[in-house]
Amino acid sequence: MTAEKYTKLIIKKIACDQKKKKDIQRQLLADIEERGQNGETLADIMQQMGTVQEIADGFNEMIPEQEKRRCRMQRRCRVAVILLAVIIAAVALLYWYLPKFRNGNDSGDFNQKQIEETLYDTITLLEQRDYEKLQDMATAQMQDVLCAEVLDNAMDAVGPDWGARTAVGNIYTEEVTQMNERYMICQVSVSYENISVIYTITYDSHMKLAGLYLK
Amino acid sequence: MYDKYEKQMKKGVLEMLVLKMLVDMPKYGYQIIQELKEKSGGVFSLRDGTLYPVLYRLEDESLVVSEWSDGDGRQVPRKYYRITPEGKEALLQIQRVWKRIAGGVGQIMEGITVDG
Repeated sequence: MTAEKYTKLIIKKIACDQKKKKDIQRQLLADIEERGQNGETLADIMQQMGTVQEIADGFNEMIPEQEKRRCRMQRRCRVAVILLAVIIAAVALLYWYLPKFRNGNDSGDFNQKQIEETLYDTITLLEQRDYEKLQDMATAQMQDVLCAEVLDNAMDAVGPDWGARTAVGNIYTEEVTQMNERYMICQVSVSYENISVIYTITYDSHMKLAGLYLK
Repeated sequence: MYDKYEKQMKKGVLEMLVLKMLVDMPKYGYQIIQELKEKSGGVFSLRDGTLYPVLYRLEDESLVVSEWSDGDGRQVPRKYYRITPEGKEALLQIQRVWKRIAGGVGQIMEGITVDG
């Protein structure tokens, strides 16, 4: 225990305004220092002065009820302000963390024509199983998982023999923002001779492949 | 068992004694504690938690004013308390009350004898 901590604990328990608390602490510290200069140890001084609670009680007994009430009110207000600030920060953090969606056509960051072209390129590369080129157009995170084995398994799981592409449906896009990152999620249904496949493909703001889902 | 009576009685005269301590010259808290102890023969051995609230209350009532001294060399800055003219007037009034009470108490208590 230091003199600073001892006096801090005392003023924490006194129901008065901050200005008076600081003054009380300064006075107590001056006293302690003076006693110290007279050769007393901090332990002796604290024993003579009394426990934290005893000293605080002494002050609190003398403080008018009106001042105590005002102090309690100020303390409650401070707690309420801190609590409010924490709640606002938590809500802001949650908002920042949660994904926020909006129609892809309303996106200002993504070019619709570029999206369509990149989407067709991606589907074509998948159909051709040209995984090297797919990896080149993927994000670093996707490159780690986008290996030939994984893709082969995924495509074979959808259907063993798709046949040639016969038709491409409408492209639906949705922009998603999460943790200050923007992504474009594209969904398109493609018909093949033997199967219909729904592609859900995600691109980041640099139009790098960031997600792939086949159904 | 009788501590509370001693505390109560001391509490009742504390403000008067503190004002009295300041009549001659301004003093700081620790100095008041030391002088009270010395002059009362150890009867008034105050703790900081007892004296300072009294000083703050006297200040709130404008009976004393305080001022921090500048620290000079090794000497720590001290908060000096000085009695005001209102404080001196209050002290005279409190002393009169004290004398009246002490006299009254004395008259009653003189008639009481304690056996053995």
